[in-house]
Amino acid sequence: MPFRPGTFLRSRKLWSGAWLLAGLAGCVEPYAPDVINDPTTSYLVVDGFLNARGRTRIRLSRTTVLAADKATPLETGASLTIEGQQDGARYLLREIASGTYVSDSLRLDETQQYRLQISTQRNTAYASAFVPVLLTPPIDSVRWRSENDQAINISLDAHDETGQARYFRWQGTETWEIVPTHVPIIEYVNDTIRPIRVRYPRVCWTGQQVSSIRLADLTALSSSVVRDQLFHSLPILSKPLFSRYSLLVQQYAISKEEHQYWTTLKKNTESLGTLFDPQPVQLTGNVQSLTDPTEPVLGYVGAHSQTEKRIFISRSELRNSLRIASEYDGRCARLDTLSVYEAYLFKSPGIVPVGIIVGPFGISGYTWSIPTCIDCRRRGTDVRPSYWPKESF
Amino acid sequence: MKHLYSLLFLLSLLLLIGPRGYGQQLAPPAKTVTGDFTRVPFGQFVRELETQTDYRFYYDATAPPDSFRVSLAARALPLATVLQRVFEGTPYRFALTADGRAFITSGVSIEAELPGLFFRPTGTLAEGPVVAAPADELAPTATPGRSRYVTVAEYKVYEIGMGGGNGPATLAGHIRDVKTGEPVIGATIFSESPSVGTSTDQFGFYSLTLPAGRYTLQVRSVGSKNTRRQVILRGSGRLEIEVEEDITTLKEVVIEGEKDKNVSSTQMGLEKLDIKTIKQVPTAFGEADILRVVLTLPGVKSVGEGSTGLNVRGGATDQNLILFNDMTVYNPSHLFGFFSAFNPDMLQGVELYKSAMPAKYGGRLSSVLDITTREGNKKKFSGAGGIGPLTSRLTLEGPIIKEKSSFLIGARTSYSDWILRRLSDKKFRQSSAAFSDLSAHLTHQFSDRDAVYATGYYSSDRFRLASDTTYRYANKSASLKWRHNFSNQLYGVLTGAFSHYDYDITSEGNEVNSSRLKYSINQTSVRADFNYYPNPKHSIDFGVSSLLYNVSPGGLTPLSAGSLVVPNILDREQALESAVYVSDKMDVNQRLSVSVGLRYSLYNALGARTVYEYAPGESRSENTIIDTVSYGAGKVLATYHGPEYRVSARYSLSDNSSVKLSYNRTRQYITQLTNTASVSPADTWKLADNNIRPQVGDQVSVGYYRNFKSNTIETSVETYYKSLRDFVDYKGGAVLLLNRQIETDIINAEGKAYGVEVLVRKLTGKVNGWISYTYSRSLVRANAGTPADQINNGRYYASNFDKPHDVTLVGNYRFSRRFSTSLNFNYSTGRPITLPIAKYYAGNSLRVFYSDRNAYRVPDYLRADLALNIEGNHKVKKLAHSSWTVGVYNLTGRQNPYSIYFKSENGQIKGYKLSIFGRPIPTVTYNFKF
Repeated sequence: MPFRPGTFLRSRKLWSGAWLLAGLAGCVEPYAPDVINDPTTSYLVVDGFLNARGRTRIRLSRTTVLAADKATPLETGASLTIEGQQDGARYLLREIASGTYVSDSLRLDETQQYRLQISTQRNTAYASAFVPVLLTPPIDSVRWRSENDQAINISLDAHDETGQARYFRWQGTETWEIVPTHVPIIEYVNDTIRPIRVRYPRVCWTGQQVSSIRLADLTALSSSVVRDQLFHSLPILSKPLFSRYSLLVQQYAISKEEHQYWTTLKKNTESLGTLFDPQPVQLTGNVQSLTDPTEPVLGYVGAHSQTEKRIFISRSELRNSLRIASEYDGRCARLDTLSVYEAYLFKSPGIVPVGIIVGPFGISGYTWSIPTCIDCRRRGTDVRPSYWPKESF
Repeated sequence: MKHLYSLLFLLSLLLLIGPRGYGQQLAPPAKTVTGDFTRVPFGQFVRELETQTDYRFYYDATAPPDSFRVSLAARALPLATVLQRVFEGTPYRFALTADGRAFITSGVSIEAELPGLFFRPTGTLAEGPVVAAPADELAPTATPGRSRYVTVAEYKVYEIGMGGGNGPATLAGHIRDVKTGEPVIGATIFSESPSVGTSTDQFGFYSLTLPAGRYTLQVRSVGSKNTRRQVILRGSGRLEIEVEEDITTLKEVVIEGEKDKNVSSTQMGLEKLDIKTIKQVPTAFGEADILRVVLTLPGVKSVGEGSTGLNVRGGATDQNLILFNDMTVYNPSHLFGFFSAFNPDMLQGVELYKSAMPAKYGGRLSSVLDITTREGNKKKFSGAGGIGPLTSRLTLEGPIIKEKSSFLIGARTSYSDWILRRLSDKKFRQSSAAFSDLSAHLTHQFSDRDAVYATGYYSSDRFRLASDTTYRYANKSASLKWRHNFSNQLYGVLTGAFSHYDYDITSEGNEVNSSRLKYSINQTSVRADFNYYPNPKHSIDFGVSSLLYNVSPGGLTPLSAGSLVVPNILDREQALESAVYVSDKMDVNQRLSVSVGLRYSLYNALGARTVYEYAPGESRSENTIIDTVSYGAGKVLATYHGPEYRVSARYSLSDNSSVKLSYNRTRQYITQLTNTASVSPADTWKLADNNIRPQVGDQVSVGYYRNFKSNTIETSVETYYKSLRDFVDYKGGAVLLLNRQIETDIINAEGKAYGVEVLVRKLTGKVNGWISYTYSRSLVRANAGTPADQINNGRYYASNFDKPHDVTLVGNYRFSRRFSTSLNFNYSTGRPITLPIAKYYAGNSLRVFYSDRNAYRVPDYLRADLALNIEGNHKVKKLAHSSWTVGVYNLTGRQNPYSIYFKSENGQIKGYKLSIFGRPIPTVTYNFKF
């Protein structure tokens, strides 16, 4: 385990202690030299790869100033082309969503090199370096293991019989079910309570990309074998494992240069430049502006195929006694009540009736909750992913 | 012995009158006395005699004492008759000289008029090595402000050696402080015609070779009154010289002793500071701080306000050999660098070699910072101390065997813990910060030929600042030195030293993570150094040294049974660094003097250790390890060696100007691993091995020196160019602690540095001080190997401590002998920084885009400090001398950046600038000395 002094020393408290010793308070002031908040600093970011066996998907965006609180702006209206070096073949990409450009399903020739050409709306031309095509071997298996009932470690095996692939990168997408604790059996329509007709979904799905960069370098091995490579780890009591969890692992065989790019990116983004942090590195990639070669362009466009494998982890596969957190813990765990005379309050869209309370003389009141505790569509989608097993809900 | 004593006594008396009394015929002074005296105290009687006659009286104030009263009636009686009557039946005797002096002695009668052959050489004198007169001797009473002893010694003619040849003779001895018996270091002793001179070494020893004859030797030294000795040199011999401390100039920048050293010395790139200079520079916490004053010298910089890490002429902070009485100090600071870890009252002074490093020193590239303690008072018990807002210190010293051995012990401690606990903020009450240091120095003089010096040093720091993490670090060192004089021309010093530095960082916040990280380094060294003065034109130094390093590079261990931390302890590292050297300083002619030296160093990295081999042509990483080799204990796993050239020359253009040139090569086998801009207590030292090569540096330097107004104003312009090979820089995101493959994060870069240093220094007068301007660049290039090992695409970039412009003013104005003010002004370009300049989304996460490494700079640094020094009265005899220092640090309140950092707040990345001393800080310190 590498030990980072920065984590101790970065503590502002330490420095506040130092001021104190000086018998006075030190001062912290915002620091924003022109260069870091220069709105004209907006470099093109190219995110994606040339898919040797299938659709190429490239996302174009721009950098923003550090203080920006909005999402990074997308680069729309550009024209993108994949170009083969020897045969001069050109394949166009179409913009299917703002800033996202997709090609037809292609089969790139692994004996030649390809590059991506970009021409933006502003008529600036960019091109990535010509890169060889690498074919990614399949993932042999993806396995998970409970680590002392503390964490779930997901690891994978792969190998390349041809021995071509020496560097790998993996990416992953997590998806999990969201199951609301309470399901309303009544609804309030036309000033009256009645049995619910349009039920709330019993389950929704949400997910996220695995943000950490996972790489392997097999140059020290005599054959191209990845054995028990840890891909992802999540605390066993965390919400994604509450009901059913799935992870899709995507594997890419990459070149040495691309491996280097990702290695540096991985180190670079872990910390920010304080006095005690390691030196960060300026990292651009293999895309260049043809109009102005000094303009930095961010991103590395490699050419390779993609293989993937998905696993599922169900709650029933974990130990029963574990108290795994639900999305609906805390405020959503219990219901509030209203008496029958207060039913008119259900007119408010912020209050959702859930059930009835039956007393000795009939219905004495209603239980209720707020929409975010009831409607799982607030936290995900109720459209069942095509790959999701049918038997669950 | 009794015989010798009286002889010496007589001789000294003779010499008092020597210059005028001998060989001159003067008109006899008026010498009749008239008056009635009834039980008049003797002192009053003498004053009466002095008014009536032209005689001046010389006698010891205690003999005859004031209780000795005179009753006498005289009418125009000759003085001799009067005195005869007065002293009848008493042990007192008198003598009168032709030039109007009257000497009164107790018990011994003297002949004031001497036989003409008195100067005939006598065996007793020639053999006796010591000619120093006893201090409590008969002396003139009339010279104000001078001790009787010194005045006597100045008038006395010392006869050295036997024979009457004209061949060269070597005069050697020590220059010591008359009050404390401590050696005076760097004092110059010279004859004006012919112009031959030398200066004392660290033991106060000098050796001067002159043709036989009569000379007046001038003695000058920092902080002492100027004095002189008259000698008749007949053959080689010894002369011990004692000088007086100049108390009244306690707060003055006194470089008087080496008035023309700037121009005349061969040495260049040397900065000397004595403790008095150091004490007057205002500091943030009111306490004299040696490293902070060193930082005001041209060519010396640091990255941050609180940092005492020195960057000398574009070198890294680990390229300075910091010696404390020959012990290497690995961490010279307290409290993250806010204080330097040396008690100012212990110190004699400091020498900083920026170029033309003497061949004696090696092992670091950029500079040698040689800190020496005083020797301790050999004559009486005394002490000094100070009380400041954060720390207090006390130093005691005194003889163990009078005149032979002495001790000096100093301690300093902080009471910040006590302050922290009194604060209302809970965070601060949970904090603690304490440091202390202790040093002790013993000296014993066995004989004139042999002396032994022992020094011990301990400093420790402990912090816990509003967190559950405790930092602790400590230096422990000891040295033992034996000095032997083989002859007047040759002496040797055998030194054994041990240095230890360790730190640990303890984290005990939660049981699961509780752990302790430890690091330590031990250094054991033995060295023999010899100085040989074959003739006045040559001064030869030679010696051997050997140094054993033993490093424990880091270990993380769980602190409690419940901790889940996996123990991770790195292999120990060992290495042996040996060197031989010889250098000769020769005066080719009056104008040209040259110093040529060669040092050859040999380094062996030793087992037991496991080392890795990496695939050639690949960027080193855990994945490119192709072999793991284990070496047994004591087995050599890597060897490096090479010559280190040390050459310098001076050519005098005129009496007050000269040009100097120097070239030196240095090799460094140990590197401090720090990829942070400033020095942090978690930095480690790493030995060269088969993957990490030693650093090699070359420096060429040229300077022009000129003094004005009879050497009271010194000016100099020095330029230098330096190149460094295998300078250590780090890959982005390097992990330096507990890294078994540390070489995978290190880049062997190359560096170059160049600059011009302009200095104007006024040494004396009411206004004194210095002003310097430095233009310097320090650049690094990493363009070897794979692109992963390159930084900024292999172009040169500014190093972390590249600060091109620097202006420093240290000024002093003395209103009176008791009040003086000091002003300190510093401007420098801000240090380089790598800024995050944009953010973007890629690879499923928000990323930050950084500028080129060190492409931008933090805001410029500007600070002015003011201090007022108030001395107590200057009576020489009083219980304690005390002084107050009232100061304001950062007078303008400018918010100089200490640290610039960025943090993510609600998706925005914001930059902040932290300044520690962002407003004027007043301080008061009380110092005393007894």
